[in-house]
Amino acid sequence: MLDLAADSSDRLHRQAERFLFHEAELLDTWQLAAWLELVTKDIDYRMPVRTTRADKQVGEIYSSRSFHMLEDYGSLAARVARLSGTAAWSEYPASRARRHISNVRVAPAAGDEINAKSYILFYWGRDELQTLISGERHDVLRAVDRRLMLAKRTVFVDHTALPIPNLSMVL
Amino acid sequence: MAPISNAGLSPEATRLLATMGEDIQRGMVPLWIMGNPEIYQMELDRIFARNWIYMAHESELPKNGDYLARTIGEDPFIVVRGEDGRIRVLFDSCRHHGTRVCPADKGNTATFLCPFHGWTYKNTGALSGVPNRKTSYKALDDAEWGLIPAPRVENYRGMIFACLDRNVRPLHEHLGDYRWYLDIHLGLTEAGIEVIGEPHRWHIDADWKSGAENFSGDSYHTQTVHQSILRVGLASPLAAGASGGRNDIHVTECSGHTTSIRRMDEGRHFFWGYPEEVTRLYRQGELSPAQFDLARRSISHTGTIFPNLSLIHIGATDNPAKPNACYLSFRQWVPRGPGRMEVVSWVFAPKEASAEYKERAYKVAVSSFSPSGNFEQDDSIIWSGIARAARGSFAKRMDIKLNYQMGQKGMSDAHLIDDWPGPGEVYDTNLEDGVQRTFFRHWYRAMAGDTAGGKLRKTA
Repeated sequence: MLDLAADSSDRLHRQAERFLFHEAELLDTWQLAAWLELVTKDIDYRMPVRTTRADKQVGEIYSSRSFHMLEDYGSLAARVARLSGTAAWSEYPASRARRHISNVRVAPAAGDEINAKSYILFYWGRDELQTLISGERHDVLRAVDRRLMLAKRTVFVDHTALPIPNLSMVL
Repeated sequence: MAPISNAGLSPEATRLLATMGEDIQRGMVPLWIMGNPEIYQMELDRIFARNWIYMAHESELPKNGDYLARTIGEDPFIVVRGEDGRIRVLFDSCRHHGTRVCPADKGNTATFLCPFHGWTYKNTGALSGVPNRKTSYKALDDAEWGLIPAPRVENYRGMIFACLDRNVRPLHEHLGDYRWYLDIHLGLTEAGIEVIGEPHRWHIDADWKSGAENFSGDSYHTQTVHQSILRVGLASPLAAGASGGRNDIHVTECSGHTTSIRRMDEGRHFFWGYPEEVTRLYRQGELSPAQFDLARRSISHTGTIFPNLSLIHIGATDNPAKPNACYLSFRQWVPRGPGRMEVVSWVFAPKEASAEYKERAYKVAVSSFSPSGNFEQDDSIIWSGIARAARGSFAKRMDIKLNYQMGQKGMSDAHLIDDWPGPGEVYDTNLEDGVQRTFFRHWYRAMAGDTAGGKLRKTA
């Protein structure tokens, strides 16, 4: 029998969604140091390059070797340090960013982890330039000291050529 | 090569062709050419259709049947290794009613099937199938109706170029003296270099020339644009610090191509900072002692092969707590409409390097020169600003000139190195704009119709 109030997967879903929405707020408002505190030290963050393939080669659409971003904690911390200081011209002035997160699907994983899939529609604006990047994120969220942290993320973008002059921060 | 007609050009374009040669001698470049629709169309016809354009590296097409979708200017082509092992460059347009027959960015296929009426081509381009042939195309001569090949395709040490003009001079003459510098990147190990994975592709609202001229050797911009790299420690001051070091040189007028090189002191053994596991693969091979010595002292190279292929060979890191890794990137500035380009960028490593090294070098390349690169993201937004300022009425109406006078008489102490062992006109500093003047001089020559390869006089 369906019992929404007692459904634990619904609670997981709400916790994951709360995490993702909070994370998006920190990124969209350039609170990058606070965002980094949501990330585990063993984070694996990647955005594979997509190529258009004929139907029989569909398994190779997302490259296993090539990435628009390929990050660990140290490289993410370096990006945050660079963007938080002077003369990071790609974000001076800061671009207008908004991460629309939707279609969240959650499944419990091993130990203290949750698998969370979500769609992202990223609006980017700078001067009169503006664009959208669309994609799906496959995250592993881990409960650490009674709060969720991001332990793994793969962003599957819908684009083969990114329609943006620079990708200065994570999606 | 067929002469170019200037009939029908606007008064501004006509004036440009009459005056730009002198402007460049005086170190000036008009702003309005950086994104103007008329100039753009002229570039497609006069530069991209008449010069050797880079298509692919052999290592991207290892097996018979492997294909890639690539462009020359705005023209779609298929680069394909046929069943006979030969690499061809075929116009991606069905000979029947014209639609594209290449279904993907890359793949492997024996045939290309047109989805319109079903004409089929072998991976050699030969027409092999026509539905209802026996009733409807009885007299069709297959030999006349294969996919149209680019008139000229040549391979230089694994780098495949094509040209849409049958009468272009051979590729080795187009690369000319620049092979002396190019070979240093291609020839240090027995097996040469290979592409790692797929190229990065991304769009910038900037003129393709901004990328080409920047990589031709704009050493002056590093200290301003990339100062945040040094602040965080993502590259050494040797590679990314202010220009004007005592061993920095600019190679100008090298068959139309250029390079900017930072070097260690004489006698030093550095090789861009590659680790010993890579440098022990190096041998002089076909390089001369002077070429090998330059490689040994090298900190970084950037350069542009006219018109739109650039290179960067550098060491950097993704994390100041980790050691640098070195890589070579070739990148192409593909025109995508006035004031718009697609960047296609490949990361290369020596074939013999370990899988671990290639992985580390690739990660560092992504973190430095890619759409998310800590260096590159600051360049692209600045180039957009040039196209934005150029496209209105004022730049053209006022014939606003930009300043490329650094290194010219009275401006700085740039001197030609008399006893430089390599080709080109080589300056003893990278604080000079001769590299960019070389790019624009050859751009001007191509636009004015002279692609004979002779030398336009350099300085007044």
